[in-house]
Amino acid sequence: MGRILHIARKEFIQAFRDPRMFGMIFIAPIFQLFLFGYAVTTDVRNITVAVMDLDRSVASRERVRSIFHSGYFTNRGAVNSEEELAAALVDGTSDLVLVFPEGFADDLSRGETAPLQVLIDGSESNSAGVGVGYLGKILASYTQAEIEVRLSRLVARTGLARKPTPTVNPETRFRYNPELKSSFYMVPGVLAMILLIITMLLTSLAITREREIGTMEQLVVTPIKPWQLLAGKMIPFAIIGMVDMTLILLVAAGHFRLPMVGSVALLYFAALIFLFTTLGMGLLISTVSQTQQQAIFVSLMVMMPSILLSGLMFPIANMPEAIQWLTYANPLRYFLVIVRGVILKGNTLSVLAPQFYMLFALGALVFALAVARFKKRAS
Amino acid sequence: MIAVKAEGLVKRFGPFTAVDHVSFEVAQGSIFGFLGPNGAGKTTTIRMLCGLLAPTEGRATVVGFDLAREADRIKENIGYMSQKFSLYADLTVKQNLEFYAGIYRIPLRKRAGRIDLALRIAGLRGLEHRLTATLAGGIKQRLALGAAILHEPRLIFLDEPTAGVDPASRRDFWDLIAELRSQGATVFVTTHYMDEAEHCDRLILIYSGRKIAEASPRELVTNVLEGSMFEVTGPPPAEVVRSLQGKPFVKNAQIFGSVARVLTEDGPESAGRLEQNLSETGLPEARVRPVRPRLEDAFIHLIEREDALIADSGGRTR
Amino acid sequence: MRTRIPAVARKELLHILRDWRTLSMAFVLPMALILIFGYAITFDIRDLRLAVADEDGTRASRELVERFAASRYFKLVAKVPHAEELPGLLDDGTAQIAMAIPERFAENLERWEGDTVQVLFDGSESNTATIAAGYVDTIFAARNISAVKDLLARAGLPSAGIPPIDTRVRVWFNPELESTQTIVPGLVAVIMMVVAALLTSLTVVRERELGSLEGLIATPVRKHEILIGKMLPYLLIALSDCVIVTLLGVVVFDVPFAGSIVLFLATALVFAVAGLSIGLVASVVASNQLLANQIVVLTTMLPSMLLSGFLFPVKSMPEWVQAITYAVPARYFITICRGILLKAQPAVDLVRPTLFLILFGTVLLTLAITRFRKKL
Repeated sequence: MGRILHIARKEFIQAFRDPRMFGMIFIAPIFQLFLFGYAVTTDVRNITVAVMDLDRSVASRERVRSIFHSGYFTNRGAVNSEEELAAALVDGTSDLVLVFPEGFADDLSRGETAPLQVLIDGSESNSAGVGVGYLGKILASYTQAEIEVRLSRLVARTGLARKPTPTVNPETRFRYNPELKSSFYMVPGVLAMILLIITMLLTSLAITREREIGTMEQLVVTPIKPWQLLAGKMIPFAIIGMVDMTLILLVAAGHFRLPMVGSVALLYFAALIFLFTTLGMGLLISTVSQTQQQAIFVSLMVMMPSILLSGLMFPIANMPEAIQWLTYANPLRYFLVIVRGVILKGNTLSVLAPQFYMLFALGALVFALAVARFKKRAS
Repeated sequence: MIAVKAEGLVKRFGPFTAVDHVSFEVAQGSIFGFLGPNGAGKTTTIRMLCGLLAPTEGRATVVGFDLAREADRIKENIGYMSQKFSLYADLTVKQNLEFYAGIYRIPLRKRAGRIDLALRIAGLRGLEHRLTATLAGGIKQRLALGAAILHEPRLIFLDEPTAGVDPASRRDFWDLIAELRSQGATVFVTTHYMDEAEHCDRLILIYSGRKIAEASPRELVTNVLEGSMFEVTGPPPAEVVRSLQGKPFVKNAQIFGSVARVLTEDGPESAGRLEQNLSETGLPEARVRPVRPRLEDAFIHLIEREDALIADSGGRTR
Repeated sequence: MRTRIPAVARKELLHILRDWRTLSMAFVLPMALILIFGYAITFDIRDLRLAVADEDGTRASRELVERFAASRYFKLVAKVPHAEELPGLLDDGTAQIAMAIPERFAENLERWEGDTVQVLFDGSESNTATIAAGYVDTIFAARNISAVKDLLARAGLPSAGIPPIDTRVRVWFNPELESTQTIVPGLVAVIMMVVAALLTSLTVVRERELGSLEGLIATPVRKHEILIGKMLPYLLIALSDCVIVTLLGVVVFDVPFAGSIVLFLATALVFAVAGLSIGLVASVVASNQLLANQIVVLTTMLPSMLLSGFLFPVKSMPEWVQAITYAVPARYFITICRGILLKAQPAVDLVRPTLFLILFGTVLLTLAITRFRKKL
């Protein structure tokens, strides 16, 4: 036990020799938290719209006015020719171009459907598509108004006692996140991601570094056993991981006002099991790397797909079948479900049991493999 | 011609003073030795002279250029071999030499020749394509020396060049140094091996960051050690030293392996007095024989004197 | 050769070639990323898991459910008899949307009293929930329009003109609105930035840690010669990555290359220099490799992915975040990439972002050179 503590102490001293490491290990994650919390949003604002009004009627101008009045769109200005239209889309100053054709007002007054051409800059497919959605909402209000008018006419014509309502409307509520803040979605994910990155990277580098600089040789010669060496090396990083997690939870609750619906203890328990995997991965990476540079690159090669294919930013359900099968081997996937489940939904251990099992199984597997390889190399 | 002139060089790392007002001059074409125990400040001084560390105080002129203002000109004219191996382990011998040849801008037509020379001088012929990481320590040192002399520098700094090298190779190394001097270069060497120090033309003794002596090896021995030197064999040297403690005519007594070396006041009758003293204190079987004083003796004497001075002034360093 | 840059560059190249692991990863990582982003990542949402509690059980309520089940956006995963069971299905993740059709639904409709249907969304995946709510609204709206038209027709009134305005949508530059087409050009920038900065981030600090820097700085080599010489081989790698990723995008994912190849490569060069310079700054400033790596991850990887417009539009971010994005080089190159690949933008449209990149590269490289202490 004493030996393990000694190694752990040495790791701490080495890790924090440069005071900037404090910043890296504790401040950087908070910085990342803010980044993810605020930048990652699929709310779309400031959609620029150019208008080509070929009808120039009261009706068309009225519609243009109310479209910009909605607040979703920014008026880029009018375009008056095909060339200007094309240029507006090519040079990127317009996300959408609306074209009101001649005869627009006539169609409306005749009670016919008037077409409105919408040209989208598809080079940023996300925002343009959402812009069309917003447009749809505005137009839906016209439809609603028109329906009311028709129904009034119906009452007048048929002499009904009151206006009939043939419509069915949804009453929408968002559970766990009533205001649909994207930070609620992202912050638990960031927690998981940072835990992964920091513990895996620190571990893999710490071990590889000793091998690269040559001090490993000195250690292996002492009577210390391999498992003691490993435990001593990993414990500090597990502690750092836990501290980071606590910091993030504090900021999440304090600043982002995340509800902590479930049991915090369960969260920490899950984190411990997750660390099993990440530390094991770090160790495994160190056994295939001769230099720190290699360790960094391999870590990256493991981390990036893990993060992208975990459900952090992109729901797994939307991915192709084959890839979804792949994600079953990604421990981050399960940890993410647990973190979101506990923080936002208040899930209990019984609900999350499958995730816990998988996490544990994966962790044990990786760790066993890593230790076996490490022992082989050390001997 | 002065190759190096150091004036009051000081280097502090926080509260710790590594080099404390060191001044000296090195004549062109000589082998100049920096002698001292580990941690005395030798490497720090060399690094300052090479422009690797900025002095806290003091000035220096190296190969005619001012250290503070013309460091880059200095670097063009010196070669440096650091204490820790600082070439590239993942390059071959030849690749390392080619790199430094390019760094020193050795003209292309001369390059092959200089590299070949470096290989020959360093005894690395046949090892050109070996990965440096696979070489033994002593051979790596030779490679480092080869890289340091590629550009025919007028002044070569060698920081503990023979650390970790076997005695035979050490001798070879010093032959190399002598050859470099014969070609007109000045060689500035740090070492803590006394026997090597005797090869130097002039020596500086450094202790705790301070210069405690500057002279040729011979001068050090004769001037510093006033008196007669004897070797006492027979009884355990520790007992000999203990029994001579505090005796007025005994200036110094040291254990050297299995014998004791004793410095006494001058005079031929000293031998007799010594023997008498020893038998009086219960060591009649002691055999006394006069020996020539060595550099090591001078060095230790100087260090002890320095320690005594420090103790007298209440532990303060100057 | 009066400059020592070729000597430094050649040595760096030797290091790279000898370290086949890192070299291969400098090429494998980009390829892996483009495959992931090309195949796995999409913004399209389908098969949303829907649970329904039909407390009415009439033909009308079943018809409503059928509308949803038939839509490719929804997948009916559970039908339960009581609305109280629905929240539990959201809790355990069985469903993402829960709809409760009340009793007397059909009755109310027959009496023309309209009705409301409770729809509960799993808000924890807020992005999906927003889009799902949009789809739900669309389906209800379509149902309502046809119900109103039906009613009017029965009463002998004209049913044309509902909806009064109909949109005809045409998509330029990316007709199928495939997210791959916009992601891949952005990916080129992200990959280049990440690889470039990572590669150079370790180069100086590594020599410092291993001790070979001491020998180097005792020579007359100048700081700029060291840094530029070190940068050159990595510039080659970064540009190769650019070409490989673009090629893969064009060949495998049918991303168009509508614009000028020359312009593309020229701007890629400028961008690469900016990215490499960031790595050099990190390498010069950090005292150990872990620190250098963390600095690079923080200042290039994450901002390049999140703040460059790669996945999330810059215009939609809070003002203060938008201000930060001006300092992200990838932002400019993504604009350029999308412009050249998808829109065939002429040079004049590319001037502004390119100037920014040149500014970046110059400032960063100068910073690296000045902050490089040629001392121990």
